[in-house]
Amino acid sequence: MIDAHAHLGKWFNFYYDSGDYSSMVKMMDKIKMDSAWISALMGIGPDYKLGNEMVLQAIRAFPDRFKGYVALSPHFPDEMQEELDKRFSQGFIGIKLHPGTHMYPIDGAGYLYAYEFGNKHKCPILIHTWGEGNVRALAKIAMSYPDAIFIMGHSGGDLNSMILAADITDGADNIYLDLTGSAMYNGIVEYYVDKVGSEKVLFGTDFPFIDPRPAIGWIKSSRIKDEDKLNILHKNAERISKNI
Amino acid sequence: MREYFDINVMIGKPTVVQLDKWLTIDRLSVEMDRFNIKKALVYHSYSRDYDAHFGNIHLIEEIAECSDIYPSWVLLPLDIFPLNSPEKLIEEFKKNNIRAIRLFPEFHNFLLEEEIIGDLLAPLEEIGIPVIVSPNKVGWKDIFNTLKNHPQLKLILVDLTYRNSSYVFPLLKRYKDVYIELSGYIPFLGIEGIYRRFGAEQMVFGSNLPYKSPGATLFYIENADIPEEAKDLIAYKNASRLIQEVKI
Repeated sequence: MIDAHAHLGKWFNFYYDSGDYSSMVKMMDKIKMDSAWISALMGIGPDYKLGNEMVLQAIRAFPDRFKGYVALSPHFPDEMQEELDKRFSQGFIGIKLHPGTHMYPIDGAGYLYAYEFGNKHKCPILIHTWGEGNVRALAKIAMSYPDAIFIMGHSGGDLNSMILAADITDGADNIYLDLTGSAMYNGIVEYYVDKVGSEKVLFGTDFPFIDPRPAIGWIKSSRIKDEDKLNILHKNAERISKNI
Repeated sequence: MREYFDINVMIGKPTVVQLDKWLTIDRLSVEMDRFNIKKALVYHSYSRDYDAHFGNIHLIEEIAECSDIYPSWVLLPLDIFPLNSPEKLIEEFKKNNIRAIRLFPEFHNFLLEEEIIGDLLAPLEEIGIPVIVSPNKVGWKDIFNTLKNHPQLKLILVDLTYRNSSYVFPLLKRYKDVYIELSGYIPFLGIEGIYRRFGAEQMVFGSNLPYKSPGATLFYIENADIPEEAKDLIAYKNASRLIQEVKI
């Protein structure tokens, strides 16, 4: 299994017992998760540079278990080039954008360099989306950067937005629908596989923000073929990482 | 495979149906077989979305032939409920083998204030019948206030989220008759954290069917780093004990 939407560290407005990378690896061993693609919660919060440094420490401690997303802030667009060059030279594989915490529009100018970089390097850009507006905005942006791989984080989050995400991205080669989310709606996995195909759906958990085990049970118990489960849980992420 | 007792199931067609997820008795039976759920505590969508007692009566009729399903009635404050006294309520509980209650203040437009709901909660507390509520919809402050007035009330909290530990920990510490249903309570290492602090006696399995798949919570419990006996309590025994302890 590859968790294409994971994190690292703690979060300011709710409690969980542990968010360090050692605890994460211990859980990954238990549930047989091969690797997790992580961004630090610090990175989508107050200090993206410090967050990226935390991710680097995790990667260096467990290079086979973690791959890194470079978190960026649209409030510091002039720093993006330097940060991306630095982190990709350190082995990071993608970009993480969180328009929600940064309170910034997906199609705002502060993100444009990140999209251009993703397009040039054919790397994944994981964007947190919540609500129909975010879903539509990402779908539109993705058309302008056809070589970037857009991972629609949470696929819009609420059920109506998740359904819309499948409906409007069906046929888009460079958009993957991310299953990450605490709601784990009954039937959405089956709907996605039927609508866009299992090749365009990614497994993610928000781990350690959220425990990864329920999401695994949700997907494994869904009424889809085993080969579709394998695509979602492993093969799609593997294919993306090989093409960067 | 471990046996499960699901305390959080709705049957019937709700007002909003998405992805065709609503349950008839036959559909529920398929799900129960699939996940080895041996018993279920069920309420009716009509009780939540139309009229509480109309749905309650409908529920009894629908599950009449089902020995593995317990009815959970939805109640309102006695001032606005057809069974408007504790005596009438308990008589009907006996007649229909009612073993749990659900309250939907957020749907049914009432408050969990003592002046409004106190004369209903007092007899429920007295007979030890579990009362199921959704604190994130009701408001956590109202849960704490309710328990100050009714400290022996057997309260099962459902629709929790991974963000709720700051409320859950003090409640479980102070009130041994408060239980959490696990389908939404999924912070990292959540089950292990509750077990380490409070033991396994205050956790129960619930699927939140038809909105969620039982597979998620089953996998969570089965892969928890706690003793097998603790998993048995969470999966089945705690709920079974709660149902059997009702004094009617």
